[in-house]
Amino acid sequence: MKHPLPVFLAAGAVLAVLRASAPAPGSDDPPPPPAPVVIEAEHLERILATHERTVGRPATEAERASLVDAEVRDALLLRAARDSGLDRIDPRISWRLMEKMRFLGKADEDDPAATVRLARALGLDQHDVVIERMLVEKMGTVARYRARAEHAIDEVQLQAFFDEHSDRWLQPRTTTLSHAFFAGTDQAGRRRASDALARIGADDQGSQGHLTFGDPFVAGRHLEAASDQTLAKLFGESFPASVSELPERSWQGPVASALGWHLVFVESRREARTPALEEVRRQVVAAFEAERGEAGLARLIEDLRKVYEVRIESGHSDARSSAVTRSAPSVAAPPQETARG
Amino acid sequence: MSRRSTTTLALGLGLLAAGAATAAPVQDWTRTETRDDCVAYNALRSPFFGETHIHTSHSLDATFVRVRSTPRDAYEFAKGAPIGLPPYDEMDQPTRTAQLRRPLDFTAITDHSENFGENVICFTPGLTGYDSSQCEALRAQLASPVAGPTFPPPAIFIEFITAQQAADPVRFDWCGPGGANCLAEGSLLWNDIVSAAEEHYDRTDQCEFTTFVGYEWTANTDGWNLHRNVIFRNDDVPAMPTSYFEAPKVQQLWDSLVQDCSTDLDRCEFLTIPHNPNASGGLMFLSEDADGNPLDAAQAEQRSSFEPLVEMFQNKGGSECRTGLGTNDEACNFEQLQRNKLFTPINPTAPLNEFTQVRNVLKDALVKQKFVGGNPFRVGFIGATDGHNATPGFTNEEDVSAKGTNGAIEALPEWRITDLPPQGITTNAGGLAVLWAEENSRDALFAAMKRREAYATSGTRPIVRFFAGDYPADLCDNPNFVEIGYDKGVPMGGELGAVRGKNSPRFAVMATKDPGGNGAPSTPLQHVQIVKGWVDDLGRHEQVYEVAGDPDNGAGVDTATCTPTGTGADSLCAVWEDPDFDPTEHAFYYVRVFENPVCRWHKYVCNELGADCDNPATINEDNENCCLDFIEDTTQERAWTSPVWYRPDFAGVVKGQIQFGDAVGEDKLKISAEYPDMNPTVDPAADGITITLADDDEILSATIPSSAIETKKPGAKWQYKDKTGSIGGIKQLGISVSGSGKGKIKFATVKTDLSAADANEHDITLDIAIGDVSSSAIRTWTGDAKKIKTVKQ
Repeated sequence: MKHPLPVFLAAGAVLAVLRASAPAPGSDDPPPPPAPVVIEAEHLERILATHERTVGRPATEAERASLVDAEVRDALLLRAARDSGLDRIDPRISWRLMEKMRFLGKADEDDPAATVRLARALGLDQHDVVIERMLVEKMGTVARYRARAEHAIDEVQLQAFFDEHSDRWLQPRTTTLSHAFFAGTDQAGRRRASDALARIGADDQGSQGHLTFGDPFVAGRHLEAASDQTLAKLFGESFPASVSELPERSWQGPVASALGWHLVFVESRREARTPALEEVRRQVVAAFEAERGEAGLARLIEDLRKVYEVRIESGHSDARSSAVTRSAPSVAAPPQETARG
Repeated sequence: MSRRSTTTLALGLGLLAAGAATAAPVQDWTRTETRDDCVAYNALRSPFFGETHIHTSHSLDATFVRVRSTPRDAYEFAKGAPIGLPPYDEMDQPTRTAQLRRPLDFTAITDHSENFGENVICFTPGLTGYDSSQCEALRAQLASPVAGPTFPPPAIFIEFITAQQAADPVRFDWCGPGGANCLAEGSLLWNDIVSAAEEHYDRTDQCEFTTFVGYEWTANTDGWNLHRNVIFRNDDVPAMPTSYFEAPKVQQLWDSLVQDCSTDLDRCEFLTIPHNPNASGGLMFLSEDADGNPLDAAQAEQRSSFEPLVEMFQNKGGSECRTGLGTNDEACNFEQLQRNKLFTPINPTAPLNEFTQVRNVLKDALVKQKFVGGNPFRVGFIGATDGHNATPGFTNEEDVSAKGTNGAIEALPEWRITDLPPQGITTNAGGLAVLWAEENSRDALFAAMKRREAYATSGTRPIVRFFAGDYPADLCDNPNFVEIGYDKGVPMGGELGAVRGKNSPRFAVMATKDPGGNGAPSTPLQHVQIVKGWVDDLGRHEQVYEVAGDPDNGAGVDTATCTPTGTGADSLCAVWEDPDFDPTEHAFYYVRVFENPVCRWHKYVCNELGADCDNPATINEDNENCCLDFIEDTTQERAWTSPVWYRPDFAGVVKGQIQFGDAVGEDKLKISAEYPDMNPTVDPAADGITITLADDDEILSATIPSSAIETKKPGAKWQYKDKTGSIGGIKQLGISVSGSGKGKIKFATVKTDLSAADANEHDITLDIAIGDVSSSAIRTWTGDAKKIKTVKQ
């Protein structure tokens, strides 16, 4: 089937074109409706049989409905992709058509464009499951992109989205600290640490000074904004809790770790918290955009259900599609396109 | 001198004055992606634990053992969430679960790229190939009752694997002309893999978890394991992965990656990591191009650049060394593969090529370095699991004993200890990769891998530092160990010359035990060794030195209860000099850190199955493998650092002097640099010479073109003279190489402006490049406003 539709780069154009082809108000001579999208009975049976083999029992009613729905979605996207000309602009499809022509010995390597045109004239781009899957994926991608590009981000909506999903950006407690290490978990290590503390005095405010006491520590003596997980990784699981109780900006200890004893100078601490939107704006926008994209795709599919009649060849049509008021396809309608032949 | 080594060398060189407590290495990467800076940035680098080799249901062999978890599930698992394990019940629910005791910092998911499309097609009705006999058989296999391992594997598995063994591999017919159907489907799956990595990468300033886009290129030519994991630096990745079908030789893989990354992509960068050289028949590391021609020096260095790391340890065995293959080191007999191919029956005495062992490969690489001038195998070490349960970092011995690593065929204890390859009792719990990086981001971790500042562990999480340089003997008593480590030398993975003249560089190693947590044991350290390999005119050599701890500390395990006995160290530190150091010999040094013994994973299973090998009445069909004489009940978890390479072709003794004049432009410089074994490719009359001298400012910079250099004796002596000092003030320069390979470069300036040099004690870096052969030497100079000169080495 070929619709006299130009090539469109944006998915939103699909609906625009399809709507433009709807009967104009007051017109006496409506154009023929687009051919229905058909899910063949044989195809559906195969899907159900596969499901049964995979999980070891027949699909439940709910599972069946879900499988049918997924097929309908794909078939609608495929049709929309073809009707909006997406199949003409995907280099992967041209590449595949070249491969097919090579296989048939009809490829002109010096003129790939002509070869691809010939392939299309021969219908090699039709009933090709690989091309169909590419188009379904591409239509989905374009629909998502279009949904994101359609409107600038609404700050109120973004804030609402962030408030609703703020747990996604919860930040763990972090501690910025310096420490002096005294190797050995025995009492000798503890005594050395205590002696050192007595020497420097708990009121020493310098954490970054050139510490001349303690042993070298394998992961360094200053940690910037270390999460509890990081502290546990380096010092053992009891350390984060021990450090969390220390007052800030003074040398404290000895604090035991899995590796020995430490004098610790907590410079600053930030409790677990939900950041302000501005702090994680880039990530929130990305998530918000992703959600807008999915919503846009869902909207497109709903709209497509209104444009195309969906026939499921097991005796009953898709409930939502059948609700669309539209004249039945006439015998003069173009030949119907089947999904997943 | 080395080829193209300047970048590598710069890493370990601090910018600040000697002894300053804040000296840190120069960050050697820039951001190639849009993300927040990490709040926990550490210029002195932190250890990050991760996985670079894990399979999910996108790998056909994982699908085959009924694994259904996806990359998204695997990333969640790595971050600490539980995961479902097969078999699945009639309600599609997993019958088992697993969970990490401690989360990972990073993960690269590396599914087999070979059957990406096939794996989709066989489970998607309507796709061409769905009805093929292979797909039918695969589905029938998965619909059959769950069973334990078999060998040979089911016929359909062999059929898929066989396709990956041919030298000229061909996809199944139903993949269409040129494999187009399967490639097209594969590209869709690849898109999903890239998306999953993106979704789970923490781009916030918290930097809690990093993902890498990757895959495994799975070459099994003639049954030899030549697999590589391909890891990309960021999300700018090729549209399709390269598989064995498109590129059956590793050189073709690299060509393909270079081509793909340079076509329409501007941030794309990759590295490849070979795994299981132990099953490669010695073919993993060949210093030749795709046509079998030997690599020249530049090609050799490029190979090392593509492949900076090797997976030294994973669940199908270690690849460090093996007694009888160039060594009598007893510690080598650790987690051997016990066969010479992945898919052959267990045979502990199967003949092995010596280059199945990485230590021998490193030694061989020194021969190439010495005589060809380039090192094709300058590889650092990481560990990984290669698990097929979508469970990255699942290495705890007790957990592996309870869950296995390979899908439904390990659902029962007796199945887990099968002696049938490729899984079972001869496999181990897998290892981990540890990277020293400034922060937990893709760019920082990728840079750590490229410069090999990485180490492997056999699954536990000890923390290990290793530096080589010009250090005080009492560095272990200095709280500024790490700062000095970077400032006066190079970290693991680096290269250095004769920084202490004829004396051995000092090697500083510090290790702390795995601190444990959430039930993971904190096993004490037992001892630390330094392994040296070197080459001289008589051949390749090695020696193992004890440097800290006590290998005979009496620690043990009560294997009936798996309770450790005895004591060990919480941390160990040593500064070591090579007693057999010869400044003219190419050498490498790496560290092995041993923990006290613990039960090997299978012993937990054997205890559960009631096996007491001293009591035959307890042994039955299910547990008889517990008594195989070549499997030890206990294991000593360990870490292997990447080596440091000693380069006699780097500048050794450097003598220099700057005489400051009374007025601007009245300063004079003279320098001589000795090279214990000059790079054989050096030819200044063909390549010219570039000299740079700098502290925190540039003091002198000169590029003398080849045309200005006179050959006094071909291959042995060159000279440049210019009384006016028109190039950088240099009036005279001489380069000589003796018959034994010793080299010397001397030069002096006319009166010129050298006032950029600080007039006090500090470090000055001398960079000399002849063509693409370069050397960088950092030396301490001392003096006053009248004169500064190098401190005697």
